[in-house]
Amino acid sequence: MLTVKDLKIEFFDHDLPEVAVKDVDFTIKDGEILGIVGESGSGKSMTAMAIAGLLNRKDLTKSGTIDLDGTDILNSPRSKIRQIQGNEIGFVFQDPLNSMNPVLKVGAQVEEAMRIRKKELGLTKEDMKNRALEVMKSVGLDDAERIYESYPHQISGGQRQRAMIAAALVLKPKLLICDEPTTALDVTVQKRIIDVLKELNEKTGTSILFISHDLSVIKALCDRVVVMKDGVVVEEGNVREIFENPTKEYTKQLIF
Amino acid sequence: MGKYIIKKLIRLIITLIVTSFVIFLIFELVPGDPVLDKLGTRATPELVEALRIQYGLNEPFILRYFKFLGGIFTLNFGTSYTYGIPVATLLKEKIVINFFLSVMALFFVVVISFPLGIYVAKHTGGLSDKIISPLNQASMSVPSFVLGLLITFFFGIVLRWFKPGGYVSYNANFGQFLYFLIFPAFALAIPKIAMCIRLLKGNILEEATKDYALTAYARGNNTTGLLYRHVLKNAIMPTITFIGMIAADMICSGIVIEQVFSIPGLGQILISSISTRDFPVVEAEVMMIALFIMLISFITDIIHVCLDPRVRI
Repeated sequence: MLTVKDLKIEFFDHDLPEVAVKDVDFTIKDGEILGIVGESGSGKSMTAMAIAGLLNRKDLTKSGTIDLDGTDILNSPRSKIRQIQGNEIGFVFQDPLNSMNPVLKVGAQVEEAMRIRKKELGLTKEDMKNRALEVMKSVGLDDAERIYESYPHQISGGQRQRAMIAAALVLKPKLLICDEPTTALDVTVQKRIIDVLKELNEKTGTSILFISHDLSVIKALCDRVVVMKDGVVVEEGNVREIFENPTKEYTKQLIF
Repeated sequence: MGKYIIKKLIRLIITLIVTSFVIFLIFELVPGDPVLDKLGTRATPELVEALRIQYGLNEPFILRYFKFLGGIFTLNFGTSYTYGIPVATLLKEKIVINFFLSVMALFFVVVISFPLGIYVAKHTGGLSDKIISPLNQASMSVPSFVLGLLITFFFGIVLRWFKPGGYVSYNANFGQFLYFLIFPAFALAIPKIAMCIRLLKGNILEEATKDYALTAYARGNNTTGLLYRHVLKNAIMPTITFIGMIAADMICSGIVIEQVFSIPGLGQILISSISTRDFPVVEAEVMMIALFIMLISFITDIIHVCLDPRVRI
């Protein structure tokens, strides 16, 4: 479904090119949960942003291809990428408090991906609200009606991250990218968010790209894992195999 | 919301009372005696005593303060020492002038700086930004009264859009009164407009780099949607606070500007009544300025509550 090939991202720091990511190749199959693991600065977030079409900064140069069912996300114009964002790719960020707009109600943010495409989809206000409540309940927000009308600061961290997942899922994307979605949460909430993602994957077959520096989380959730270090892929394979039998020194260091 | 407004109103009244005490105390303590000032070389002990009784200055401080405080709520500030007429009558017209001048200048600030600030933020680095930014810098550094002189010269003498010094009273012709005020209001507004544009632009650009803006992008928003739906409401709040502060400053800058445009506003009488120790007039005027500032900050608070759900009410 998603194929990343020869991805290279350079950014310019005072006119000196610096490589953030290079020679990155991997694929995500339909219904698969792929983890990317690595320490900070390993280029894992940069890769995720590139897949989500969020790297249109002028101080970056990109090469390679990111193919999502026939569309090259990396080299498409912004107008085309916009149709994919929120629609075919959902993105969940690390910090649910900062990634929510403080002055908009949670409900408005959950249904935003729909609202942007209201005309094309022919949705009424009611349709959007119903769908928003439905998806919020599906990620375990039982109190969806109240949360829909709340502001981000009025709900808990766990609820916020569930709402962000709901917002990413509202248009039933093929791929959900989660960039360290549990790092800012405490451990018990972390586990529940992982369960939500697992259940989503089992029920709807949505592919998930899960980025984390935490191997235990990756182990609990993912089918396959890509290990990154300093912008390159160190090792790739089945989660169980890699955990039982890491071939690379760096992976061993990460595990122990 | 209603409860919040009442709470704020009560606080406003308490502030008003404290302020009135401070103002009254200051004029009690400043050197100079209004009675001696008025009598000058004619002063004899008997005349001084008689005038003191007439002005009520022989009464104890606290009693006079309470009279003053009561006067604030009934808008009765006593009689001017110099002119012998009630202070309220004396100041009424001048307050109307300064009120319209400040409100008009504020109006210009809001209607000009908001659209321009948003436009410049949206086109950062573009041609408009390259033109407006240095222009902004320049207008920020020129004081209002210099602008007033330039406006008088250019619009009054060269273009003849208005008659310099040709102030029309609002009793005589309200339309012409407002028309005349446009020019001093602009002189007052221009530096503030420049500041507001710069502040708003900076805040918009700052908000646009925050995580929630990236999230909004990841949902497929375009730049316009991002700006109007997400960024603006957050970015506008510091500017509103700033406009509240500007409003307070407008009254004081207005005192200088009205001299430049020969408008018989609060400024002239404030200066003359300070030099003649006409305390009822000075106190009333300072009190009015303080009240205006308090009202403005009350209004900005209410706007904040409406815009930002995080403000606890």
